[in-house]
Amino acid sequence: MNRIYIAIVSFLLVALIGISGLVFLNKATRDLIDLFKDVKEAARGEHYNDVKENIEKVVAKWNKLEPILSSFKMHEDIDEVGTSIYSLFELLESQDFPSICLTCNITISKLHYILESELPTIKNLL
Amino acid sequence: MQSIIVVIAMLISMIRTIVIYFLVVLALRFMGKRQIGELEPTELVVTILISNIASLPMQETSIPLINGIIPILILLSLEIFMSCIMLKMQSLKKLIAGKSLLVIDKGTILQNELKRARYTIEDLMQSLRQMNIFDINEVQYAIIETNGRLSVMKKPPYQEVTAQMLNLQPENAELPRMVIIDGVISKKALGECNLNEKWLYNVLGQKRLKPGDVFMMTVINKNSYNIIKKEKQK
Repeated sequence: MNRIYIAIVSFLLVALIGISGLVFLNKATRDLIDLFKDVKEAARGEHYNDVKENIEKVVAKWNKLEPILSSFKMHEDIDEVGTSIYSLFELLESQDFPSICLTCNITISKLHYILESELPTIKNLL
Repeated sequence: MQSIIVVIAMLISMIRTIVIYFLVVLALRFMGKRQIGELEPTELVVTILISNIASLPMQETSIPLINGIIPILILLSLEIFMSCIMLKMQSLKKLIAGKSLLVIDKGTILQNELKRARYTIEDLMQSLRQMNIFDINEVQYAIIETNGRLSVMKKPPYQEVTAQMLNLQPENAELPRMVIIDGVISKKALGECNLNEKWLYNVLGQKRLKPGDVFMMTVINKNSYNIIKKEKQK
């Protein structure tokens, strides 16, 4: 009888991890996408200080999210986003605002991909 | 710098392997105590799957550890759920694990049943030989069990003689308990024999022994025990 309890607890634990992970991933990626949009807007207006401030917000948010995301996403996907985020500082130093916009767009697409690849849709299940 | 990275990568693999090892051992422990040859089809599938899944995050550090842990926990849960359901629903058990198949009936080989089980006559003879039966004429009934093993009932003239056949009435056999293992006294085993350490030291004293001198001591009751002394180290 103990075994059935262990099985139920294991199953509930896994379900809890899965659902909470999905909720967390959804919120985290949407927050990050919003911050990237702010960076993009500031870069379009070529406001150096605003871009810098927003990139710092992105980095601060990313530093909190990265360890958690790495625990359930392929590390390559996470590393790609991390590399893009840190490349924004280099682009800011050279005041290459069009490239900042481009990097933000690419990173937003990657974040969308990360979120969508985790959703239990028929496409992903198959 | 490069060597530090290599050492860190090795440490990651090492820690992951330790975590997965304990998880797999626990998973197999909870699945039960059957040996590989005695596994039902579902148990065999789960065991193979667990071993494959476990190896992935060990080898590939870019795969999150949880991607190995979650499928193992799910497989373990499903296996336990299925075995519990199969205990209650025999029809489901027959569907998933199959049913045992009579292949020799009253000394006659049922060739169609053998074909259904995809068991050749060589397989049958091999299984019989492994049971020390070299002549198929000795067999009254043979059944292929769901785990693939063969169960055999011999014809009466070839069956082993039992005490009942000889009208003997042997005494009830009791299980000997190991009260000393490699010099260490087991109080639990002593308690199970309704004996205590005082009795044990008394018995050992009569033979001029200490617990440390004893390799193994088994006890059935206070009048029936066996002591094997430790060999002297060369």
